[in-house]
Amino acid sequence: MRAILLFLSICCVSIKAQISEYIYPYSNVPIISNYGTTGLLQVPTARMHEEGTISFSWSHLEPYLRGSIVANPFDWFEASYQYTDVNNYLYSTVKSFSGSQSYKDKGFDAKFRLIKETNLIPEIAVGFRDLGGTALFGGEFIVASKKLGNIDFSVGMGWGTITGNSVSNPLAELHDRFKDRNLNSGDEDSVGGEVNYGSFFAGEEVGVFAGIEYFVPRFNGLRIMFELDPTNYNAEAYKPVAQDSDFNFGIVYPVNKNLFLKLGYIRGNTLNFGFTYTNSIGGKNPIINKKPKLREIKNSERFKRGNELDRYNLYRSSLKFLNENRLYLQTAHLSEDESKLSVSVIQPTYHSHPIAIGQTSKILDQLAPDNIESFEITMANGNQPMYKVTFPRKDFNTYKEANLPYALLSTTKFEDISAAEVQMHEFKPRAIFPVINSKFSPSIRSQIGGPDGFYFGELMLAHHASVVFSRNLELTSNINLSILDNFGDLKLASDSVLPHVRTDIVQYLKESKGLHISNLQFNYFNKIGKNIYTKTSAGLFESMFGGVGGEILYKPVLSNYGIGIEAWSVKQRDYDQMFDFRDYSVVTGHMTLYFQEPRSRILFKLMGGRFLAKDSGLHLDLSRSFKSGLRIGAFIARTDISYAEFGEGSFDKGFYFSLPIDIFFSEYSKPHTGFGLRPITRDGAAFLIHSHRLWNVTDSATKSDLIFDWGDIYD
Amino acid sequence: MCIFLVCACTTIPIGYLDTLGTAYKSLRNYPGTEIDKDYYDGFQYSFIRAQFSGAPPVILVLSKVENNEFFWVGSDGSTLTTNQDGKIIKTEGINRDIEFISTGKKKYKLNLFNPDAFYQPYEFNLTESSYTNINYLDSEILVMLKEEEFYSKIIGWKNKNRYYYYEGRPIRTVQNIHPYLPSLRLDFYYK
Repeated sequence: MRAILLFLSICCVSIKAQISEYIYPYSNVPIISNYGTTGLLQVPTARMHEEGTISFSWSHLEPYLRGSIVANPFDWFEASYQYTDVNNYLYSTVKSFSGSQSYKDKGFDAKFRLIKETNLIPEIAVGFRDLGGTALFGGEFIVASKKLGNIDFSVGMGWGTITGNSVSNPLAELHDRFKDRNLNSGDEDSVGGEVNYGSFFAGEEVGVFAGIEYFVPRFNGLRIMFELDPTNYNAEAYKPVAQDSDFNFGIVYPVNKNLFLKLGYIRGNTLNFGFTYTNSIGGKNPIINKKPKLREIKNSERFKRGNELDRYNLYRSSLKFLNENRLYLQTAHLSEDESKLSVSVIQPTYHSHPIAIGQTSKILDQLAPDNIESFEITMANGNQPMYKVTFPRKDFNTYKEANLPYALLSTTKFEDISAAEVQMHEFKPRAIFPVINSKFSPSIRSQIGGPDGFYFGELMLAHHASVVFSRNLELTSNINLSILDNFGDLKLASDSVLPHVRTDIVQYLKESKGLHISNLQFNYFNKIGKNIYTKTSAGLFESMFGGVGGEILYKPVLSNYGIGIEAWSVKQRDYDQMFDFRDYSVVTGHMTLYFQEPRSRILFKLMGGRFLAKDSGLHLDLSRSFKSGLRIGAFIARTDISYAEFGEGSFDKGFYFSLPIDIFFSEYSKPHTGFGLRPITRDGAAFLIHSHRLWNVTDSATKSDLIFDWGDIYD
Repeated sequence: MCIFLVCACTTIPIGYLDTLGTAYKSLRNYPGTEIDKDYYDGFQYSFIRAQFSGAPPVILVLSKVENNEFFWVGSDGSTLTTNQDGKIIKTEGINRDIEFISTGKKKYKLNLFNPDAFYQPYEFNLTESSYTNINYLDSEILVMLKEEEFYSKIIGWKNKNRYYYYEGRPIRTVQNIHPYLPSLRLDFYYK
C-alpha cells in the first residue's frame, strides 16, 4: 500500500511539474541580474542555465549601464563578462585624453554550482564577482535557492562590495587570513588585473541577502521579484550612491522563451530597466531544424545491374552522384573478390562526419551491385586521408530501418589510413586545378571601450577567396574595402614598454582605410609519415604580421591527443595593411600539447614558447565543444615579463565562444563565427594568427568525436 | 473508407519539402506560397496545406475518413486528424502534440504533450457566423466565417480559432492547437 501511495505521489509530482510549465511558462529559465550573473535584481541566486547556453543582458540602473555576456560551458559553471558605463565618474581627469567620457569598466565573473537542488536540499552556488581588473564591483558570495511551489527563495552571504547589511564574517573566527580584505595583490609592480586570491571571502564583515521570485500563475510567465539588497553602495565603484531602502522589487516579463524584460525599483529611489536574451545552443540543430537533403537515385536497380557488369561504371556513377551531393569522391576501389567497395571522400559541408559517412553509404548502397558486402569509407581533408570506416552493408541497412545508429558501431571498424594506401585505389578521377572559391560579404570591425569613445567601428566589403593549385598547395586571401567608419576620432597611443606587436591597433585601424589585405597566405600541406602532418606557409598571415614558417603536428589517428611544433620568421606589417613592412621582426614559435577529454569534450591546449613581443612563457586554453558545433573556452597566459611590463591587466586572459553559422540556416555548412573577449589588448603573450592550424584541420579524425556524433549517421 | 497513398517527396515542389513535425522550428517570416490551380490539378487526392505562422508550408494528404474524422498524413509520417468542422482533434509527430477526448456532445477534455498535461478542461464558444472573401485557388470566393473562443481553465490558456466554410465544408482554418506553438493555418483542398 505504501509503495502504491509512493508511486502515486511521484506520479502526481511529475504531472504537476508538467502542468506547471503551462501555468508558469519559462519559469525554468533564470534571468540575469543587474550585475550580469544569474539572479534577481541586485541579488545573485544559485540558479544556472542549461549547459551550452549563451546569454546577453543589458541593464540601466543609475549611475550604471551594464552589458553582459554570459556563457554556460557546463550546467554547474557560469562565466560572464561585464562592460559597465560608470556615468558618475570620468574616464580620466585629463580632458585631452578622454574628453568628457564617463568611466568604463570591464570585469569577469564566475559562478559554480556546489549542490544541485533536490526535493529536500536547496541548490547552492558560490560566485566571484569582478575577478581581477580594477575589482570596482569585486565580491564573493555563497547562495542557496529553493523552489517551493511557484516561489523561488534565495538566501546568501556576500563579501567585498556585497556587505551592505553587515554582520561579522564567520570565516574570520576560523582563520586569521579571513580577517583582513586586502584589495591589493601585494605585488609591488601590480597594475591591476591579477586575481587577488588572498582577498577571497575575507573582510571583517559580510552582507546577508535574500530574495524571492514569485511566478504569477496563468500570466504568460510574469514574475515578481522582491529582495533584501546586500550591496555596499559606499564601497563599490568610485563614488558612493544614495540608498533609501534596503529592499528592491521588480517584475520580469518573458516575451518568449528567449527574451525577458525587467523593470525594477532599486534602493528605494531609482527605476531600473533591463533585458535578458538567453538561448541554449549546444544541442543538435538548436535554432533551425534541418536534415541533410540527399538526392534520391531514380532507377537505382538499373544502375546496380549496369555496375555489376563493369566496375568502372560503378566508380563513375559513384563519382557523379556523390559529387552531386557535395561529397567529393577522390578515389575508389573494388576489392579483388568484389566484396568490398572502398572510396575516399572530401566533404565541405558537415561538422558531423557521421552525417557525411551516412550520406556516402546511402548513395553507394543505391549504386553498388548486391554482391558488395561492405563499404570502406575514407574521409580526407585536402590530400590528407584522415581515417577509414568500414562496416557491413547489410548491417548498415538493417540498423537504418530500425534507426539504431549506435548498434552499427558493434560491427564498425575505425582505422588509420596512409596516403599511399589511398593512392593504390584503382579509380582516381582527375581533378582540374586550379579550383577557385571566391565570395563577397559585408564585414565589420570594432573597437569597443577605449578612452576615446565607447564604440568605434567600420563597415567593410570583404572578399574571401581560396585558390587550390594542387592537392597540396593553396592560396587563401581576405581583402577588405572600407565603406564607412568613425575611426578618425581614435587617438589612444600605445603606452606599452614592450615591442608594439598588438597595441598599435589604433594606427592599424586608422591607416588601413580604403583597400587593405587582412590575409594573403600560401599553404603547402603534407602528410610526411604515419600520423605526422605538416604545413608550410608564407605570406601576409594576419593584419599585423607576415613572413614564412611552418607547423608540424603529430596526431595519432583517432586518438584524443596531439603534439604540434610551429616556427615563424615574421615581420611587422605597415599600418596601411598592404605589402609594406615596418622594421620590427621576430622569430616566434611554440610547442603545443593538445588533449581532448572524451567524456566532457574539453580540449586542453597548452602552448609554450616565444611570443611575438619576444617574451617567453605559456598559454593555456581550455574549451568545451557541443553537439551543435558551439565551442566555449577561456585562456590565460603568463610569460617572463613582469606585471608592470605587461601593463594594465597584468597578464593576458579572456574567454571566447565560437558559433557554427549553420545553426541559423536550414542548410548545413562548416564555417564558424567567433566572439572573443579579453579585458584589454596588450603586447605580452601575443601569438601569430595563421589560417588552417593543423589541429583544426585534423581534429575531426578523433574517435571520441566520431562516436559522439555517430547518432547522426542515418540523418 | 478510402485509402490514399502519401505522395512521394519528389512530386512536391521544393517549397513544400519540410515536414510538419519540424516546420515550426524553421525560420520565422517564411514567405510561403499559396496553392494554385496547376498545383491542385497535379494532385490526385484530397490534401491540406498546413502552415505554422511564419514557417514554411507543408502538404498532408488525406489517408482515410472514418466516423466523420479526417486523417491527414505528411511525408514524414506526422498526422493531423480533423473533425467535419475542420477542427484539429489530434496530432501526431509534431513534437508538441495534442489530443481532444470527447466527453459528450461538443464537450472535450484536452491532452497536451511535451510538456505533458492530460485531461485539461476545455471550454469553447462559437460566435455568430459572418461572411467574408478569401483567396482560394487563384480566385476570390465568399465564405462563411465562424470564430471560436476557447479557454482551458487550469493552465489559463485562452485564444481564438477561425473557421472558413464554403458550400458547407471547411476550406480554411486558423487554429491555436498548443500553448507553445504558433497558430496553424490549414487550407483544405478536396478531390
